[in-house]
Amino acid sequence: MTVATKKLGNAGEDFAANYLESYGYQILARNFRVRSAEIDIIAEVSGVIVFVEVKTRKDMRHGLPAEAVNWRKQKKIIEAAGVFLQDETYADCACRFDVIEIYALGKNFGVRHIENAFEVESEF
Amino acid sequence: MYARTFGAATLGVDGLIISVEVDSANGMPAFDIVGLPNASVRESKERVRTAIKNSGLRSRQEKITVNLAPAEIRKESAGLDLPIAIGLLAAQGRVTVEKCSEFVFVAELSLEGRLCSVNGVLPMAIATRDAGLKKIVVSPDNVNEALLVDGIEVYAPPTLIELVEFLQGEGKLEPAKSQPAVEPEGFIELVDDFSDVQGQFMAKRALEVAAAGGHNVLMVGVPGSGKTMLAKRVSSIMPELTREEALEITKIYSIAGKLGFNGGLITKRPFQHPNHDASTAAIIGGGSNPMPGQVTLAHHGVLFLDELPEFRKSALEALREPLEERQVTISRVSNTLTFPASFILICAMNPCPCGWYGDRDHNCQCSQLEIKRYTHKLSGPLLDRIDIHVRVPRVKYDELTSKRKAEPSAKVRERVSAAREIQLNRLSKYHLFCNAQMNHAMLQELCTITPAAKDLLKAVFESKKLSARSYDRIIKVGRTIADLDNGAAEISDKHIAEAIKLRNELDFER
Repeated sequence: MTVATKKLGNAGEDFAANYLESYGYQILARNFRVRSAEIDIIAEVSGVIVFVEVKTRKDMRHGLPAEAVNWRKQKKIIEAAGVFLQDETYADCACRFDVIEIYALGKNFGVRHIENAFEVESEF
Repeated sequence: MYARTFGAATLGVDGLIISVEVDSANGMPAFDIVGLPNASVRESKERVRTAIKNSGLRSRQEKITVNLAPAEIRKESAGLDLPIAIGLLAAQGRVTVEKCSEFVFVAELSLEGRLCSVNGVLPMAIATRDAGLKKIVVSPDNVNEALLVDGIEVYAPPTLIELVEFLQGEGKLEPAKSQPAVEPEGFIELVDDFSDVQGQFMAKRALEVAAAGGHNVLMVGVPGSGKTMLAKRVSSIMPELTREEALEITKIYSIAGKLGFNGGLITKRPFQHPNHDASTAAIIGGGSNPMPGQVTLAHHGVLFLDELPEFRKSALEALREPLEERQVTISRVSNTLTFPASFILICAMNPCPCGWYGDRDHNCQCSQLEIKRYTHKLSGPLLDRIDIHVRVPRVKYDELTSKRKAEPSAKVRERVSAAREIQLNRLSKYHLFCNAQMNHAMLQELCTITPAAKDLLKAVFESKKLSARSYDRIIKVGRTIADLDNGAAEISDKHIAEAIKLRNELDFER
């Protein structure tokens, strides 16, 4: 990962967090990390815990940002979410998994928020 | 929240009510189906969710668990889509649980939210009635099938949203009424009739006796002599189906998904003619979830095996059980199922590989060894189960071009039905219905033979060196011929003589 991509990603995540707050989401955690699994933003809105994966792209050379949240990435996020939900405060909460796509166009950002982007698949 | 609805599946030829429990609760969003669903049921979650969305309804994305009980039976039917969808809506409080539990839901869902037809609705409707439930919801395409069952109300909404509005008490939905079958325009039904066959009096008589007594027939004849033509017309001389028999057949065809365009009651006796390449499983039924085979599809009708020696030996030997028991048992690791298989077996074959052995005007090209090898593909035990062996010679020119119409099927059927009536009276105390089913003890008790006939039998028994089994079979066929002869009480020498003719027309010198 180059410094530039890292910088772009962080900028996108900051933008997404501000975006969520502007819609009344309360940010509970940023970059929640369990071993190699990480959740970019954990927020809460009207009693629902929302786990958000932010994907930022400058161009479409590698497909849509959301397409990069593949099955393996989803598993990581679900794993980390499981750990987060161990906390008693959040026991028996409704929750969901969102993906926020950020399109970086020079200094401006475009946003697409996909609610309920994926769910837990059973193992068999 | 938790909700329960009822769906249905099939097991063998019977329906089975499946209780569908749906729980929708907080937690990580997921959609799990447990209770031994197969692939088509497991995929139903995608259809259910999309159909609900496209019907303009919303389901919350929660931790959804669906349980299909009883859990030990593998669920195959896509018809469980609808009970899962309604259960999910009930669990999320969109419809009331109490109202839903009055119904059995049987339909597949399209992504757009339409109800689609599934196989096996008739047995499922019967199971609904037997379980004491009064109402069933099916797709409009399955209405005629479900309506065959008396004592239940059938509802057939075209779309999921109409059903949901009805369950919410907003929309109106009337119980479906049976619609008369509408035949497509320009639809001409071809009726095979015995009068189409010119000549071949011997073979026709043999088939009449077979239809009357439920005997199996082997026709041996040169190519092009009309064996196939004759066999196709046997069901036209068998008695009309009773409603009970028709329901049994319709049940089987419903499960096999072979009901045709309007899905109503089957009123014609089936005629099954598998290709000689058919596998054993195709003949007797099979699959990991056993499906009916040809013998079951021929239930109450005719199973016709053309070119008998060309069939696989294993397939032919597998016929022994259904011929003897009139049912077939298929055992798998998970379960053992019994399918009904009460049919008349009609077989046709050439006398030798080239086909001309025994013909007056052609020379047979085969060596004795070739003929022996050909005929020996048929095992003794199988041939023993075929009561009537008849030769079908080349038809003569005068007969073929004769202007005189042969006797129509309806007339033959009258005689056959009368003979069946007599047999039923005689055999009903044994729970049998035709002569072919009698065993040795019953023959002793029920078949009185005149002294002249006894003398004839003795002479033939000694000169032809008959086996005990062949002897029994001659008497059985003789009994049927007597029944056809205005229900003669005693089997006379005339009857026995004809029976011998029908049996010993050819014997493969075994």
